[in-house]
Amino acid sequence: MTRASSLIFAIALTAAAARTSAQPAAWTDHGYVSAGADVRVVATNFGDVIHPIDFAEAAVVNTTYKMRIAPGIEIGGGARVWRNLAIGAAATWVSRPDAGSVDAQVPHPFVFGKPRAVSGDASLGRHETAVHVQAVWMMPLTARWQLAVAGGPSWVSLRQDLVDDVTVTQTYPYDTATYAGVHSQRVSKSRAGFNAGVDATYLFRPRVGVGVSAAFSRARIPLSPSASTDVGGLHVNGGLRVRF
Amino acid sequence: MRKPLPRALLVCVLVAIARPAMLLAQGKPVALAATRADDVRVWDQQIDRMIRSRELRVRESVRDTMTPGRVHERFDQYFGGVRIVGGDITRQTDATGTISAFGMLHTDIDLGTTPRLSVGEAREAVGAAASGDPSGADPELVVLPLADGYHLAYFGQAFDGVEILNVFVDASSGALLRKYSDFLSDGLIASGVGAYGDQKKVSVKPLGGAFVADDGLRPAAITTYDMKGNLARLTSVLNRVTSVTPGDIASNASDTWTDSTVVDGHVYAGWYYDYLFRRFGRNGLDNSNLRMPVFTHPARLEDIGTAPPNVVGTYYLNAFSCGTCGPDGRGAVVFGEGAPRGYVGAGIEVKPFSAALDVVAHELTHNVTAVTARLNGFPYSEAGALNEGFSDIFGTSTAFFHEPVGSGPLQASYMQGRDLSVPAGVFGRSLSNPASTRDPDHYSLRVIGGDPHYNSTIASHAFYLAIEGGINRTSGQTVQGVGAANREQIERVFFRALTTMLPSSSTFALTRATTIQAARDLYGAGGAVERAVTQAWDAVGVQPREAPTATMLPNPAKARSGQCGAVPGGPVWDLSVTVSAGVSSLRITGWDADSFDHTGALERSVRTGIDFGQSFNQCGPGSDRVVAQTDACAAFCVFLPGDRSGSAQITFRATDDAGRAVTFSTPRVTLVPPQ
Repeated sequence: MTRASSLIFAIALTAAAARTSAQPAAWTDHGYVSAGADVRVVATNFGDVIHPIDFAEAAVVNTTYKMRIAPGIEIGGGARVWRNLAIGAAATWVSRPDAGSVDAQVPHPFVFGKPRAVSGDASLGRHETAVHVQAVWMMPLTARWQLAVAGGPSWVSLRQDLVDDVTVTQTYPYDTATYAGVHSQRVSKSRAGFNAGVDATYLFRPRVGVGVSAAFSRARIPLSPSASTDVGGLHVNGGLRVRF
Repeated sequence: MRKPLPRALLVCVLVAIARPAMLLAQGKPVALAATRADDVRVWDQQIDRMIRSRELRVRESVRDTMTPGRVHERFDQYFGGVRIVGGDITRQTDATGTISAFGMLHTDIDLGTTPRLSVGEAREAVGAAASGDPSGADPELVVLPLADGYHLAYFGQAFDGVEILNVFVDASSGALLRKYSDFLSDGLIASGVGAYGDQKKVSVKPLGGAFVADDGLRPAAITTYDMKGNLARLTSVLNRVTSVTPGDIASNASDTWTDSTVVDGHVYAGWYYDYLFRRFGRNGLDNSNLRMPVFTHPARLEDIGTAPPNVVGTYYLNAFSCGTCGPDGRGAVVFGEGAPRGYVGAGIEVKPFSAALDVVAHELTHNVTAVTARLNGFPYSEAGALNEGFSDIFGTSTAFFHEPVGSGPLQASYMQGRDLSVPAGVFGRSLSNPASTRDPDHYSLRVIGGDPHYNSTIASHAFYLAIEGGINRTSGQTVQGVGAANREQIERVFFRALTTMLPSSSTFALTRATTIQAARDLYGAGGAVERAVTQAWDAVGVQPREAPTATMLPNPAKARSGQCGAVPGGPVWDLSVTVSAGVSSLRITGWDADSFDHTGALERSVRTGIDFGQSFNQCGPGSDRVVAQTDACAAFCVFLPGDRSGSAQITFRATDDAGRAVTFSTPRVTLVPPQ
């Protein structure tokens, strides 16, 4: 799903919720549980420039981390606390190696100021875990269709492989070098953020159904003095919905 | 309570534990070197049999590019369909059959060739054994001969984040058997500070928790030794009485080196290697990566005040190359310790002699000369001066290659050795204006029998003029140089002449001829380069030799008191005589030494015959034959019985290559009385 279509889908669900809010039907369940597949649907990039010491001289390693559309899982649940309002929590896990694009200036072994340019790709792991605390406004549209709007704070954890040097192959006289790979270190950081989303559920049994949701969450996590990244983004989730 | 294991089961467990995890077996390596006909015949049959049984499989078959009609084959040995690592042979054949065969074969191997690990499992094992990621093709099942026997193994590659490793793992257990880097160096780069406080990159190796000045990144072994002021040990090493040890190699506890003498010597030796490679495509001193031992700290600076003058002149205020010295008798360079401020003159500090790139390159060029032209150092020889001249030429050229042009420290200029002292230039030799350092810029100003360093500037000034152009101050002749941007052309011309054309007894005239030929070879006849080289030699007064000549110097010659051999005392005159062949070689058939009294009357005439070579052996091996464009030199002591002044002259008789009789004479030299 493209970023544009994701947004259109999310807007459509929000509009449907707005239309039905004029005649709210009572939600009488005690609570809900949801579980399903999750997809981070927006690809984005962030960059980092580091200067490791190679051959007694500072190198320049410019890495573009390309976060791709990534699969994950989500589970959640909540309890009705007042009329159509529920308080719940959801957790998402998204994991996929990201593509890193590396452009580096590697110093010459023998003389200062004569760097060799190398470039290449690297596979860099990225694992996002988010716990969303949500206030959920449940809106039964018909006997089978329910719409929910949710939002609240998030606690987002990220494990990200960060490039800390580049490795090359080279032969005398070392005027050129060939990209061979990267050294990387795994950085784990957590930060608070927020989330908001809508869910549409079709109940094919009185308390069991399937649903699809679109949610947006965000937390900005500094990974190093020179790099930070936004975690979360737009996710689309689909799966089992249970009312109790 | 736990029940004890039944005895039978316990035995089974113990057997399983005791059983070797690896597939290991014995075998026998057999070296093959068949060159004699009967050996070749026997081995050829064996090879053919192994080819038919697929024990030998062709890896390569190439036609000989140097000897037409011959073919060179390479075979890998297989056991049970599995390649044996290191089991391979070469076979040379022509139309008549096999000429030679060499290699290593393994026999009597008793080893199962069915692995327990799959290729996929082996790939994972390779990565794990190397603590990295498996890379390249899938691992290959091989038979690996090791010291403890033959192993069935997988061979693969892995990348550990730093280098590519070749890894052998056991084909049964996945255990690591052997790994080694696929990178052909194990050096690393440290940082260091030179004599002028400049930062340098030092190519070193780790050793025992420290770092040693042993270049692991260049193809040649460049090792810098720190003799710690132990002159006796240094001379023993140079004379090959004692061997160097790892403890002699300069070392540093960290990768930040502060001994500037070691840093400069080691780094500049590497830069000289780079210069040869980049400029001329040459692989080190001998084009075969001859090792380059660099010796520093031959003496202790604090001992200079008590050191004998010859020690100061050799091991403090000097650098030198020795073509037969060093750890393996194939050459070494030694850099003097320098002198503290005020020792050689008020306010003058002499840096360690490794502090100047052009000096390091100068000494190492001597080692290039020692394995190429072998320009000899006979005292009266022009070849000795040329040897020094070429070292200055490529000393400064190395500096121009690596350093920015300028007149300050660590900048390239035509003042050889300028960086040796503070203030600069105390020891310099100018290639651009030799007169400024009291050196000759013209052949007419040479001192026959003089210091070869002195006469060297005739050649190095010609080199300078061929690049930069300009007017020779003595001749007034103008040279149209190729320009500094094209200096590479002249460097290549002179290097080609030195390394491929000049004989050991070269003269300035022969150097002129070879450099002009080199210019034609490299850049075409009649081109700008040939013109620049020719004009440069013209300007410094070095002309082609046509007819044979002879000189006797000095003229006039001043007498000294003493005696010539057993001749009683009285005024005597020391004369240097040089016979120079022209376009033709000469065979000297006789020579007449005539002396004249103060009135000019012939006093005595000594006619000699075939003993020319016995006397004329001062600038090369004595011989009655003088090769075209070369010299033969002699030193004579002359006396005039009963007379305090007079003159002398020598006339030579020879035959040239065409068998023609040739006669030529020295000028008559005036012998002036003692003061």
